[in-house]
Parts: sequence; C-alpha cells; structure tokens
Amino acid sequence: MRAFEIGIPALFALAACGGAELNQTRATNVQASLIAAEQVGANNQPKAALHLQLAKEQIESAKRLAADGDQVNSDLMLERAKADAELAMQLARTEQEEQNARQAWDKIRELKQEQEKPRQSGG
Amino acid sequence: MLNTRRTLYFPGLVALALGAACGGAAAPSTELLTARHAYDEARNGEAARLNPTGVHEAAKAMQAAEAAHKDDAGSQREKNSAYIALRKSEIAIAGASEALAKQEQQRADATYKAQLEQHSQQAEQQRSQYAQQLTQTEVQLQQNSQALQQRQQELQEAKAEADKAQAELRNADALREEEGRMIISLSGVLFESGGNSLSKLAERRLDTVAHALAAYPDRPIVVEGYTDSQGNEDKNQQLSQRRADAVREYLQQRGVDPERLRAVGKGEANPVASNDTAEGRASNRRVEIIVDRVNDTRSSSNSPPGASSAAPASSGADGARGTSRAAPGSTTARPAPEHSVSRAPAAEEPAPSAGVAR
Repeated sequence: MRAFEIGIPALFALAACGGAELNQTRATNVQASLIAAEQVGANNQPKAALHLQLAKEQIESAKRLAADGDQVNSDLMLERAKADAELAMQLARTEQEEQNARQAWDKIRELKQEQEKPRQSGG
Repeated sequence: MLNTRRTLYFPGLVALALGAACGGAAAPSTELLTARHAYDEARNGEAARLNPTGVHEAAKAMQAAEAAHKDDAGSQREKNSAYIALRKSEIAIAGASEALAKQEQQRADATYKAQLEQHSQQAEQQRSQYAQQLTQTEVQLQQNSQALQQRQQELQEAKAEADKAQAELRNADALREEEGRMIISLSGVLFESGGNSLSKLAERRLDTVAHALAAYPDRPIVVEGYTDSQGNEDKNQQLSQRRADAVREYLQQRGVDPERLRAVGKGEANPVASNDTAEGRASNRRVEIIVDRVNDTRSSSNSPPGASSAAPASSGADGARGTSRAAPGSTTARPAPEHSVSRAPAAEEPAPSAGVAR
C-alpha cells in the first residue's frame, strides 16, 4: 500500500511534465479517491483491484487527451477515473463489512459449540 | 451483490437501442443503456432503502448522462457520462450491500451478546445450585458428625455402664467365662416360693445383667433355669422353664433384643452344690444367663430334644452330668431330663417341703 501511495502522486507528476496539464482540481480529487481506496484495502480484493486498475488507465488516457489539447474529454476521463476509484473503495468496504458479519456469525457458532460441549460430556 | 441481473438484461437493451435507431430517433449508446439499467436496479432495489444518498448521487449522474444524450446523442460525452452514471449506480448498490452487512453484523453482535448473557446466567444459576447443594451437604455433614459424636458418647456411656455392671457381677462371683462364653449365674431368693414371679432382688440383679449384656449386642443369649432336687422331677422341669421364661421376658423389657434371647428349663440338672443341705439347694436354685460366642451352634438351647446339654460341664448321657460343677461329694445329681425351649408355663410345682424356698 505504501508503494502505491508513493506511486499515485508520481502518476500525476508525470502528467505535469507533458506540456498541457491535467485539471488540477479534478486530478487532486482523483488522487484522493485512489489513496482512500488503497487505504481500505482495495488492492486485496479482486473486483476492487480491477476498478483501481481501470482508474489508473483512465488517468493515463486523461493525460494523453490533455496532451492532445482535448481538455473537455480529459476532464471527463478524470471523472471516470474518480468514479472507478470510488467504486473500488466502496467494494473494498463492502467486502470488509461482509467479512466482519461472517466472522460475527462464526463466533456465535463457536460459542454454541462451546456451550454444547459440557452438556455432551456431562451426558 | 445486488447487480447480478444486469448481464441478463443487457442483450435485450441493446436490441431496443437498435430498434430505436432504425426508427430514426437518436439511439442511446450501449453505455447509456447499461447505465439506465444499473440505475433502475439501484432505485428499485434495496439501495433505495439502505443507501438513499448513493442512489441520489446515481440519479444526478444519470441526469447528466441523459442530458448529454439529448444534447449530443452518441457522443463521447454521452458515453463518458453514462459510464460515470453506471459507476455511481454500482457504488449505490455496493453501499447498500455494505449497510446490509453492517446490519447483519449488528444483529450477530446482539445475538452473541444475548447468548453470552444467557450462558453467563446459566453458569451463575448452576453455580448457585452447586453452592446450595454444598451448603446442604455441609449442614448434613455437620448433623451427621453431631449424631456420630452423640452416638459415640452414648456408646461410651453404655460401655462404661456395661463394664460397671460386669464388675459388679464379677465382684458378686456371679460372672465367669468358659470357652469364650460368658456365664452369669444368679441364685438366692429370685422367685416367690414355688412360683415364677421375680422378686425385687431378682429384678435389681437382672437390671445389672441387662446393662452388662449391652456390651455384647451381637451375641446370642440363653437363659437357663435350674431347681434343686426337692419334689417331683417333672414339676421341677416345668418350673425351671417358667422361671427361665420370666427372666427372658424381664430382660426383653429391659431392652435386650428378643431375637437374641432364648429360655431353657433345665430342671434339677447340673447342680452346682449338694442338694443335701439347705445352702447347697439354695445354690442349685438358680438362673444362668449364657452369652454365647457369635454364631455358636453348640448352645444347649440349640440342641434337639433328647440331645445332651450344650453346657460342656453338664453334658453326657451317662449320668455323670454336673461333675465339674457339682459340689464334691454330692450325691444328689441325677440325669437331666429332656429340655424344652420357651415352652408354655406348666403347672405349679408343689410347695417345697421343709420350707425350702425354691
């Protein structure tokens, strides 16, 4: 995660070197969303990781569009990247909550088994 | 996840889009159709209830996509806006799933807590039950211990009393031991003349005997009655039986277990002194209380009718009975008649001649 957090600003820094610049406000928003998704473990969940990858690809597309002078579509591409980053984050959070719920029910099953042990051994 | 149906509807939506294109109207892009479907799923599904904010965000994105389609159908702007709307709907649906999972977790946590509490209550209840049982057991133990102490004290007292009674009997030369059997011999004025009613003296001495017998709670006891040789032999036999019965009954009244007691009339048999003198006859008129060994089957009272007496010193069918106990030089010893055990009282013996008390 740490490596990716370092990599995300670099992703945007490269764009700055290319002549035409990305919309800084939008780029900052996308950057924040990507970092947030990383922090909730999006890389560890396949579907979320896929959307992270899509977001990164769309940033690259946005940079190319900006370089070509198509600022409107570059901005839209950044919006798409942001949406994918947000979805990655949401998917990671959902997965985490579902896992927590499963563990909570597992804990109940274990408790029930423990409670039944003395009765069985007690005969 | 809640968006699994999307792929099933997708070909149909594409077909609709193509149909619209053939009709001349601007056809929505595939991206827009997909976004519309996802949005429908979000606003009509659980997301509307569980994640209204997310659905609202999706609705705004959808409006932007529809506006782009209206302004410039098929344009890149429409596709990008539709793409964003699709993601917003997916975010709304995933957010609803997250809320649902949170609810599940809360429900599980509450269930866990309730079960833990129930388990704790059961454990407490069981602990309380065990503590109560322990208290009851302790009380019972204490009661038993007290009862045991009391019983031990009673036994000690009884033993002391028995020892004292035995000592008294020994001092009066009334107690002797033969082959492990204890024999208590009572003579003197024990009965009314010719009858079987116990005198006050006899009762006092039998009280002492009863105390002495308490030291042998598991041993059989035989009461043997004897007369002197004055008068009719058969009558004497019957009288000795009645007197033995009277002693047995009195001992019973003094707490001696009736199961252990038997009475045997011996008549004139086994004289311990000469019947020629008044003193000797007085000694022969006696009651002997024999405390047998445990499981002793050689007692005279166990012998069948006609068998020899169990008393070793008095046995023998040759007429030599009483040789070990009769006074030297006695000429009055006669063969013992058959002994009966606890039989019904017989006719009164005639009053002894010459005023000899029997």
